[in-house]
Amino acid sequence: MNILSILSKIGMVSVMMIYVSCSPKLNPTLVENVTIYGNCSMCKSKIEAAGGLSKFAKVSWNEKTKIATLTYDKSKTNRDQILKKIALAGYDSDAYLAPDDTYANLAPCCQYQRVNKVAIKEKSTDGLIVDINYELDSNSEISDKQDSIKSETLVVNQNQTASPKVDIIEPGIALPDPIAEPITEAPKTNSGTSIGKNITKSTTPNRSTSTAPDKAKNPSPKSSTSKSKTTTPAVKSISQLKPVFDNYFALKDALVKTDATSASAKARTLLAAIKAIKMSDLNTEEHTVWMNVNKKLLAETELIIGYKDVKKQRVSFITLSKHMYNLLKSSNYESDVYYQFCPMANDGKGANWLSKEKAVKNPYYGNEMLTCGKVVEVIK
Amino acid sequence: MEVHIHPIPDQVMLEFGFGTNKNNMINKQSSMRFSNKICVLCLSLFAQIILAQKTVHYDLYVRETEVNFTGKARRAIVVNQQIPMPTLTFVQGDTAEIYVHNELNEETSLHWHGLFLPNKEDGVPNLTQMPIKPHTTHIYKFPIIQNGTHWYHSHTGLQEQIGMYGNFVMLKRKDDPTYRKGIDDLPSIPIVLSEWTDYNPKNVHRMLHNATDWFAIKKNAVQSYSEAIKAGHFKTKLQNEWKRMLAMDVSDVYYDRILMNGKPNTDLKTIDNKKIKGGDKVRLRISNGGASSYFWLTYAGGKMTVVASDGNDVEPVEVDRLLIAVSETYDIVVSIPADSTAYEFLATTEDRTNSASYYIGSGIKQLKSPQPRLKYFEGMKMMNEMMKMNGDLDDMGMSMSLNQMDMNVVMYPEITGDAKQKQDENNPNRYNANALSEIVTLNYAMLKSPTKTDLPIEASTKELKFELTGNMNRYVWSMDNKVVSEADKILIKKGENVRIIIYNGSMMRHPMHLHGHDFRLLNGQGDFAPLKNIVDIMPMETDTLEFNANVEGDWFFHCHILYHMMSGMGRVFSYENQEVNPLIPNPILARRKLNADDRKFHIMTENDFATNGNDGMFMLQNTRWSVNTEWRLGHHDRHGYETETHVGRYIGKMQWLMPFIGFDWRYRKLADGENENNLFDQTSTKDNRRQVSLGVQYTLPMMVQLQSEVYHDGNVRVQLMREDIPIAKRLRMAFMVNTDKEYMAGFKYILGKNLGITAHYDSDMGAGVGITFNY
Repeated sequence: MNILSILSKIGMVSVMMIYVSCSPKLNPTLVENVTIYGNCSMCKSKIEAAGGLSKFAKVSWNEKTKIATLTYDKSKTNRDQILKKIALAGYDSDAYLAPDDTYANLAPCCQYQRVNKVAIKEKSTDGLIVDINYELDSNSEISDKQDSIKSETLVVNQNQTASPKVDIIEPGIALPDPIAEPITEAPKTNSGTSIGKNITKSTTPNRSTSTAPDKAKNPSPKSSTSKSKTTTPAVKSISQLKPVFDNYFALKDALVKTDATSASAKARTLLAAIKAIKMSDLNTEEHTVWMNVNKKLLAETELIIGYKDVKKQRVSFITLSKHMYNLLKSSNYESDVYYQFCPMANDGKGANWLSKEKAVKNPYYGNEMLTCGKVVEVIK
Repeated sequence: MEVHIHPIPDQVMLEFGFGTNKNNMINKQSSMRFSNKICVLCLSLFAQIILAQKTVHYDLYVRETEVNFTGKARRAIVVNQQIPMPTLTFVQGDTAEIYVHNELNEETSLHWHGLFLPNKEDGVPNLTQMPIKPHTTHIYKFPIIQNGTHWYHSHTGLQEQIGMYGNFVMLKRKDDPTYRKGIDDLPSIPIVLSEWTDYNPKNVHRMLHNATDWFAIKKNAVQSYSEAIKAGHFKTKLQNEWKRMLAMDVSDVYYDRILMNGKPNTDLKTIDNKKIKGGDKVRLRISNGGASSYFWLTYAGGKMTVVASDGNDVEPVEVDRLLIAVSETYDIVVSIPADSTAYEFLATTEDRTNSASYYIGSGIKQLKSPQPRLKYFEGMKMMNEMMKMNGDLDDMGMSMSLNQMDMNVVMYPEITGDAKQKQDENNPNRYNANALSEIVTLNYAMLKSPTKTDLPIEASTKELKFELTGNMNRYVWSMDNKVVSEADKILIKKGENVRIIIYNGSMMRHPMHLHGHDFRLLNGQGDFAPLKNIVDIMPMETDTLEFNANVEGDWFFHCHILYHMMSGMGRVFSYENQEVNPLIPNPILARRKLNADDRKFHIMTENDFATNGNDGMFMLQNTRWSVNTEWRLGHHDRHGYETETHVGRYIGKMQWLMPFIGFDWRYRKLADGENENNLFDQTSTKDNRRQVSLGVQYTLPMMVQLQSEVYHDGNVRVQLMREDIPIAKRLRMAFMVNTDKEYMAGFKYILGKNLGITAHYDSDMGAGVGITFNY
């Protein structure tokens, strides 16, 4: 056998190898259209990144129609898997709902209406089943920013994150009844019921049974009046609201230190600062907001003064911060202010606060979780 | 009245039939007349409802088959053609009569985990009975004198890993004084958790003993130097190796699939043919049938209420999540918050690499966010702080118990924030998950029995202390540095109270399980201490448990991580002057067979086919002994040929020291005028030497092996060597230098479980590249 024939054989082998390595592309690819809920171009990139799988799956999402085109190699993945990954990134489809905390952590602009969420049934103690309007607050974060003047709505909205959790009152479970009562229906003894059946090779692809939920049952989400931002970056002198903000920051620092006595003292000076404001000295924009928030600021501050328990102070501080944010947006401050957010505060519903520093120092947990949170907005 | 139940569920049978047609995978599917059996099944269900006190009969057919979880067909053991084994259900007061038909070509056994029963029914081969021989039938018969969620599994070899686990539910009678309305009458579903690996479990066991890092590669948890540098933890890694620790992880084995009742994903839309709808509550009876995995349990529909542990009722406690230890059981009540929605119940391995889901309810699936990846280098830093130079652990004054202080929280981003954040080093709560975050994690101190569990006060108390010991490098796990075969049975008296104080001085957590008794776990709840039969003890924790010795027999007390148990981590409690067990006709033989489990030798071998020669080694080792042969075969006389064999015994808890006897043979043709003297000016006889030597090997900090030996001709050789220095995820470095003025340095890139490519330079044989096969 001469060298040439060996070379030609090597050539043949390599041609075959190229053929083999090309063959995955010949695998049947499927193209499907599915609805994925989202808002903006940021959503688009996140949805497409989450659902893609190198060369085996591609997702292309249309911001307007909310339709995603899935193109995938069905020997490698399936629709269900792709939709699950997208949901785990925060985006609902008709098969999966994103985890609530993942959704809550989406950027405010991405927090779309969760039309597929079914209202939670609240069982009141007398057994009545009440449907709670789930979507009550889903846009509060957005509307906060969009119409800061309409802060009236914020009184209702204690929760800043879009996924309010409604506690379910559970009768019975916490109160084990020691007296045994004869029950007519016996717990079924389904002897030998087996669920395991993975012994077959025929692993049929896990098709999702995407039952379209009954949308009629969904309470219609509150339509957010979309209004463009009203903050005008006009040159202004340092506002006379400054002492209010300064005292607010001092109060926040006391809460960071989990110091109830100091917080109460700082709240007292804040109260004085609020009372000292002369409405006539405020500019029009500040004036409008001040009219709205003045009483609420006073009320929450007074509560904080009165509370000995830092936990209670922190609850009031949530509302106080919200109004303070609106006020600050209408006014201007000598330096940048950071609007920060901790997803775990307020019983997992999340809460915001204002800070002069970029670094997160959490007033809702202090040392327990000092650095929990993130900056959601920089107010110049 | 006697009722016969054949737990061969019709629907599963049909599916199997389908699979059989297509793939011809179930081999010996005979003797199943199932129309008959459905009849009997219906009858028996009916009978069970009207009459509680009766004998309940099950037939279990144990067979070998092939299964396919991942796309590859693998050997498994199925019982009545299913994984998991069928759910066995009884009512307290019944008598269980279980026929085990062993159709395997190997021995088997079944252990009824957590049950009170006569010792001879306990199902531990060579301890409470002789193994069930191939193609024979063994009958277990015992009264059901308790209620709760339990499970059963094979206690033979590693059979539990490949399918032999199942739910075992004993229902409370409705007239029981402890019957809890709102809990005991809820629709319930038993779920047994498990893991699947495509590797043969015997191979897994062998690889663990050989300190393989293949599983770490699969999990992306190698924690190499380059990864350490990238994470800003070079110093941490250096200190870790200085303290002679391998990369730390919370679990040892990589699994391909996590299973809940045999499936990675399950839709649970109905229970007992009743549709699950919004507002419903469901009781999940969870058993961890995994061989070595702990699981985090989380739920998308809100908080979970724990109502029982290890089959014993506890006062309901609401949690966001809990970690279920290997072989533990928990009963959890979950609510279905809304209609048309299925809520994910998620079981995630402790190392967070894999999970399985149950979707409870019907409709769109509400997911639960997955547990974020562990911050491994934070864990490594924590271990550095805890580990003293001599291998002991230092709890730095924190007396830890009951999983309340969890050192692992430093690795949990959901508790301690992202990798970049710094922890407050002075916070007394810095390991207390529940103080650090809003997430409520169950710990043992939160469990409280609804009834008094105090022991008879008139009885005398025997107090025993144990330290859990072991080392990761050689995968030796023991109690007080003795394995089962090295320790005598612990004698206790019938009627006395036994109090056990256990300290975990090893670096892994261990779920300790006591057979045949429930113990009270002293957790600060006074007379209402919870009853359990498993206690998970984390490194540095001390836990106290006590029980009244009330059933004679030989009872196993062991770590339930299968690979730890098979390595000998256990003891046998035995009652003084007890009656002879009729199922153990030859106790001496039985004991010898029991001891054989942890005395087993493991093989490891490697050969590098390189351009400059052929390097390799072969090693046989067990708990204490090591037989190791190395060879270096050049391609011609100049390069030489040499082999070295060492037979040694490991000494001490950490097993850093090994005295050995060596045998040496080498031949190397020296060039004219070439003369070889060693550093001590002794003339080497390398050109043709046959030598016997005496020496010691010691593991130095940085895990460098120091070998000093004296040959019978008086020559002395001192050698420093380290293999497998983790440079990058798959890149390892090795070096060797000795007083014969020989040296070697090389790199190995790991391609697969058994394959690598190497490049090295050797003072005898020069530079070379090669392909390494290892086993």
